[in-house]
Amino acid sequence: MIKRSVLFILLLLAHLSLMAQNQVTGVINDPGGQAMSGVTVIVKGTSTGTLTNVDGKFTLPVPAGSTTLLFSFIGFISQEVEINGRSVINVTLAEAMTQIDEIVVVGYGSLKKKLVTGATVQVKGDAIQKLSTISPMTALQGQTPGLSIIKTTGEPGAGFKVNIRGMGTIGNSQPLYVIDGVPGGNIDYLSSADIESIDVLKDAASSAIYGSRGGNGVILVTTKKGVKPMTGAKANITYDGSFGWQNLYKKLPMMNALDYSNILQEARVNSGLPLLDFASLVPDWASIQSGAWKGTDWLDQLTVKNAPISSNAINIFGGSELATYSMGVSHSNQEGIIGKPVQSQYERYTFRLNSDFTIIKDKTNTWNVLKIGETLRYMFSNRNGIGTGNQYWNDVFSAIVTSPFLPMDAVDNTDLAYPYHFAIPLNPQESNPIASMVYNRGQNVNKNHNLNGSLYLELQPVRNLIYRSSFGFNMSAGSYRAYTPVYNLSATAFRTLDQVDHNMNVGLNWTFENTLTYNLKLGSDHAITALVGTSAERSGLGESISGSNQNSLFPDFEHAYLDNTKIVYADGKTTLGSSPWGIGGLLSYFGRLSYTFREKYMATAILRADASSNFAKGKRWGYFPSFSAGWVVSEEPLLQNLKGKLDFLKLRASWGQNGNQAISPFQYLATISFNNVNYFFGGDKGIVLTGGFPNILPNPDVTWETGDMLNIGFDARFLRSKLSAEFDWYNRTTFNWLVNPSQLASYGTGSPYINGGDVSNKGVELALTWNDNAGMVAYSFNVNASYNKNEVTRIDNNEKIFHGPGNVLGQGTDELYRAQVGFPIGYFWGYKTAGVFQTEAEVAAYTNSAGKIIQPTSVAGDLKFVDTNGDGQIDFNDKVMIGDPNPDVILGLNFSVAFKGLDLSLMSNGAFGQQIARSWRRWADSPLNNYTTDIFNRWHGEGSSNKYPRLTYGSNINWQYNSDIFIENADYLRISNITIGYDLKRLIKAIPLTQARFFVTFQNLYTFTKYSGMDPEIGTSSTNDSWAKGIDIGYYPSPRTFLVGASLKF
Amino acid sequence: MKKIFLFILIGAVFAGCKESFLDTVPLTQKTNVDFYKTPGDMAQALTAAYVTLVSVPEGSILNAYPFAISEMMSDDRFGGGGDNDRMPRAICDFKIDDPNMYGGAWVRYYQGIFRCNMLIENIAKPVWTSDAQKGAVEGQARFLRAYFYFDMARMFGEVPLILETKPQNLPKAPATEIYAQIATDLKSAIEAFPNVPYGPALFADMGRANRWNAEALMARVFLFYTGYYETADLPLVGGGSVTKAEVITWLEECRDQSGYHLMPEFRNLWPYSVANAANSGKPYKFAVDNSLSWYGETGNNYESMFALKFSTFAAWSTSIYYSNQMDLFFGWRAYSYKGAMGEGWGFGTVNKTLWDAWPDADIRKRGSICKVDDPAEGIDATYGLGVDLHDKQMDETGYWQKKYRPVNIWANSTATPPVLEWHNYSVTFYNATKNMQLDNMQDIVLIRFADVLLMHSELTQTAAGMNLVRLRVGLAPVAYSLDALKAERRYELAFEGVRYYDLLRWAGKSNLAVVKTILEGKNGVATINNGVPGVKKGVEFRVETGGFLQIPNREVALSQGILVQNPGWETGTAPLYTFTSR
Repeated sequence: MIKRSVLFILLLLAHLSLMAQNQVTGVINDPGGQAMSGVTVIVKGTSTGTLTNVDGKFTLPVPAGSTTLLFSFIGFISQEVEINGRSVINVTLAEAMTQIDEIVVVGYGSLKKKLVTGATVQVKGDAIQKLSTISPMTALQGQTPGLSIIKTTGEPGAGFKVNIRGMGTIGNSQPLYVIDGVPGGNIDYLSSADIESIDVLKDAASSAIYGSRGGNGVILVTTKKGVKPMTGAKANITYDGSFGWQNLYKKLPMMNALDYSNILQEARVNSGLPLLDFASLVPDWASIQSGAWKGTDWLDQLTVKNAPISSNAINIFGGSELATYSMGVSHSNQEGIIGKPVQSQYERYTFRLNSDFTIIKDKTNTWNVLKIGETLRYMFSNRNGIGTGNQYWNDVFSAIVTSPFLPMDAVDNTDLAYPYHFAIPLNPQESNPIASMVYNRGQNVNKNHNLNGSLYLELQPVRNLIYRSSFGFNMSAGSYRAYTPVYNLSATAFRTLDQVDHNMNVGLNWTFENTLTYNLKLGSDHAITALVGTSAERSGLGESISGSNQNSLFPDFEHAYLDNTKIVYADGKTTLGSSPWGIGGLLSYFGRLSYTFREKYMATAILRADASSNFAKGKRWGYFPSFSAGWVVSEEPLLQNLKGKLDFLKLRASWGQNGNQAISPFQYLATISFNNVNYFFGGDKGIVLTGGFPNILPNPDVTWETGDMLNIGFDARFLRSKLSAEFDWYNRTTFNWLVNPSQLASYGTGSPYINGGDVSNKGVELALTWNDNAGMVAYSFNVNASYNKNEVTRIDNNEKIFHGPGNVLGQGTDELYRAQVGFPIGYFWGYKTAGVFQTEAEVAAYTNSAGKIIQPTSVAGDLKFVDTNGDGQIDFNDKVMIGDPNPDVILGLNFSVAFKGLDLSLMSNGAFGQQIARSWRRWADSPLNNYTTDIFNRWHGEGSSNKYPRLTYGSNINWQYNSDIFIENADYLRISNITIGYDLKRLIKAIPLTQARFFVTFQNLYTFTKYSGMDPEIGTSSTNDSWAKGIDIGYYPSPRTFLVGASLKF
Repeated sequence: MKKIFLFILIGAVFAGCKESFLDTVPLTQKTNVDFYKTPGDMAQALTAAYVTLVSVPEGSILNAYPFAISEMMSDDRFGGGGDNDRMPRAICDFKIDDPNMYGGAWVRYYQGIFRCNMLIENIAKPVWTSDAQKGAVEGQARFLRAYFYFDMARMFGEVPLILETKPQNLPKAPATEIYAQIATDLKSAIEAFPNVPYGPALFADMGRANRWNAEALMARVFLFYTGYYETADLPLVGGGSVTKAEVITWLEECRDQSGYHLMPEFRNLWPYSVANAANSGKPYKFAVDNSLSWYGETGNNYESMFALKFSTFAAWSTSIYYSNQMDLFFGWRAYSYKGAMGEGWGFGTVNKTLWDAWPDADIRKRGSICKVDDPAEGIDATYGLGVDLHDKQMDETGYWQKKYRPVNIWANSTATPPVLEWHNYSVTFYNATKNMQLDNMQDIVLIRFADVLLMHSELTQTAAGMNLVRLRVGLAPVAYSLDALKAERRYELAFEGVRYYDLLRWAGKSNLAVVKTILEGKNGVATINNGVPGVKKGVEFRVETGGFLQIPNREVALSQGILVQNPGWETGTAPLYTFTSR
């Protein structure tokens, strides 16, 4: 402020001393169309200049011979404009996206971005909110290099798989969320409107301050705080709301009834079976045959058109000199595009209140001696969903595979399955998948309450010393209630007694932290900041209770309470359980020392010591050091003359260690388990004797998983900061990977976790942003890309493998994915193929080097499997890596443009180099499953296809072996968000608002991909393994959404 | 001033927590520190050892029950199953379908052994109320350990002999050592068990091992070991041996003092006989025509000596093994809830040659085998023998064993109001939930009194025991001969898990070519695969394997070369089960 006044006076003096010459006037606007006051306008090459007034206007006499005006304002990109003899020059200044004076959040403090020495990235709340997504995580996709965010499913309220710089473990690989300084939060509890900023700590040096839990990176979320209003005592009120419609982006092309019947008959002929007599086995066969009825398209039956979505958020913030507040309420509701008539749904209410109070000011009134404050957030959500799991618990899969012959509705009420159609004679065991979903998964509700926040006190007895004490807590309560009615859908799908399920839980975690920060300035050159702190944390203070019973007095969901089931059964129909949550504790000491020299050379050292209750005494403590340094090269005198070309260049290097303690507790004890070891002596099958056995061999040595990362990068801005670049290279290794590897079965009991492996992730990240304007149009373009290579480098057992399960792609199929030394985590393991045998001669000619016929029992039309080990036979020893679900490159491309009150942005994100394993039918044991139309590419005669083998009516290795015919490349680039907004205030000045922006948004508008499924972004494996992904057996896709909305500022 | 503040605040920051803050204890689990202290703890530990007899299903490998495996390997049955169930057919063919196909048995049995070792190590810890109480627990633990090792040794030949709970990576023990341990455990068990005859007081203990079980198992071990390994005696740990005379003495004690005896009607031992009175509306013709009435499993079946027990508590995700999986395996595919014979997975179809060889006059023939088109069975013609819609049944012969299979009755459902329906008898009898995969809970009788009589005949080479067994089914007495004894065992104990091992021991390890001939005789028998008629092919018994199975390759790999794969089963040597490409 002082500087600006001095400049003003100087300019004024200069002005007076000059003769009046050509007069240039104009108005300066920001990209939103607001007039900007205080913008410096200078005639290039002279000392002539002025500032714009409150209306953004300037008037400046230009000396003869001058050709260019220079406009500059803090936070905006400086602009040069040729005068070209004009007397009116209006300019729109573009905001500088990367700001050196920007403050970023680091653990236990914040820092000028210019001084950051680690690899961190910040995303502003505004940028997130503009995308109008229900979860902030969706909005983060494609915005930051090195951060992989994949939806587990597209179902409303479904979670995300978030990995920072690759997967370091097959255990918990999710980053640590720290919300307003409280570790262990959950970002799903926040509305996008609550968020001020999100900072991602990517390198170990940055996350080392979170020690034992920083191993997977840290995401720091800061919620909106109050500010003292600029004028008067008026609070700021904002409203953001939108509503819209969601639809299926792409449907799987299922075969209609007639095509299906032909394919079935072909398979039977190939298997030497007589043709099926559809007339006697399929109802209304005549109209199928004539083409009058196409059969039931079960996916259509399941799909909801124009599923509504809405969200509304109000934020109020303001304050006075000594107290500020910020509060927000929001409601959002999203219905699913799949699951008709049950409908998956997610509804969420949030409330937030943050306030800060200054209690004592120092005598000179320049700093706060005592400050207290709080953050408080409440969230209530209501969620119900359909089955999205494995092939036995997946409603999308059921709809895909069910025969189109089966009609949806009963002909009349004599149907056993009324109002649905009972199974047809062709397949008496196959039930109506919609009915099965309605009955088994249709009547339930999941409610969650979450109250979290913190209280803090900040004491600054002398100017440079700040003591901060904060207590954070996270309370949660939830309930689940479900009703399953009596039904009869097929020979095997029936239920004779209805069931009521009811579970509840309540729990608490707390964190108590104390830190002391000391800022020391030695002269004008040296600045030192020292931080020491302690933290104590308790988690798992909670309990759950659950019960289920059968035979309800009221046959409906509304009355589905255990009180209405009066009979207590001794034989297992009645179940009751209650358990404590696993209590855990963490005790920590940490310190950070930062040094800067003229803001040119920076160095930081961090040490954190953590002790966790998950380990035995003596193995509890872990020490996590880190060092980082930065050099702002552009501050060097030698480079000063490059200003305007190279405006800023900072080189960064960091090394650090952090940890992961996420295992079940008590691995150091031989615990006695009482689960599933009952036995039943005597003649009564309903009397249980409970057994107990040591379920693990104790491992008293189990301790931290340690992450170690080296990071080298630079931040640079070029061409008057129009172009900014951030680059990082990293080498991340997870040591002492906490794993539960196979051990000899003859040990007789389970294996404990051991520190038994290493994982390596190496990669580079690059973000480039171009910010500029063309006259009144301000635009920016951002591309960010990251490359990561994941490899398991050590597993401490003789096999060197962690196995995935079988039966994933279909019943009776082998292990599909695994983690193995030398390969990426979760790679797909199976047979390579080399096309289809076209003739018997090709079968006979397919020999190994010794002349042995490799597939002697094969016939024309069978798959040619690759004999990778050359032993002349195809067996499990020939299985190799046939795909990798981990992308090589993730990419974000973002573009935005503003003109007067109009704004447009386009966001896209993509992933490249990964594969998906997919199967939309159970080949072997279900010959009557429906097919997608790509089965037209099957072999059916010499030369007909070299892609898919012939069809058979039953098991055949062609379709039973996990082979590369089930693997597809899944590269994609998704136009994830296009938003067009206009601020009506620009048109109608009379509106009593400071902003009245209306917008339309298209989410998931278009996806460039060759993947044939409904959605290439698949974060699930349909199994219980969180480390597996990219498996599509009927994936719940993300919707394509059209939203209209408004954001108003009062 | 500044420094004072600094010190005070640093003090404030670091004041507080002690590491004891981190001490936590498990609240829903005991630990080895506080377990094995009371007779109650020991009872729980023992229960957990029993459950490993049935908790064999491991992951996706559901089929590796020693009982079921031995049946499918025998000459009386094929693999069968659905088109997609490769494993039963691989077992039948002595081929490899999965590198760990017998992992379930290997893993669970070693768990059982570990739990027995734990019990035996801690047997002196609790304060026992009586020596009899301690003896019963120790006897059961030793019996179970012997049982597990005997099954392991019959299946795999030589296996690591683990007798302590501390983790040990041991090589295979020689057969003599394993059998010495088995014999020693059984001998100790016989001595430890109280001498109480079976009767109503022990009904609640059905399923628990007792003195009589130990004596019978000793005879079975003796016969197998001396037969297969071609020796006279059974060794004991630390020298000495169990002689044939001792075994006979124990068997006679069992025969005369145990309280067990033959029941009068052979067919009433099996649940199909229940389908007479219980389902008056739609009775099972065979049961009605022969006036059958099941003895049930409440205790008064004095022929059932040691049985696997099942219950109504089975659940898919956690504990399918609480229900009888063998019944499920051995039921026919599809054709569900249309009659007394219930649906299953279609494993272990019966070899027609057994039916052909078996004299019609023997009531055990139709009492053990259901020929689907036999008028005596009264099975609906819509059963559709050989029709491929029969849910892809493989190795279909039209002959099904009926000792262990799902049995339905026509009875009131549990719905309100009830309606008449077909369901497993356990729904009516035990209040089970109707579910064809989980509602079988028939006992699997591992030791039946008839076997005691037959073993006694075989060991003493006298006909008395045999003839009691024959008399019960109305057959005339015969003079003792080994051939007569062999035939009697085949018919009396058909489908009860003993046939394959009988073949091995009667041949002896130096004479396994005989077994090869018998088993490969299955090739060429007419079978129908998924509706396509053909003949069985692919059974390949290799003498070099000794009749033993492949050790799970995973275990061989994990042992770092200490555990050596069985002969003939090394990777590259082991024949692979391949699909019949159709």
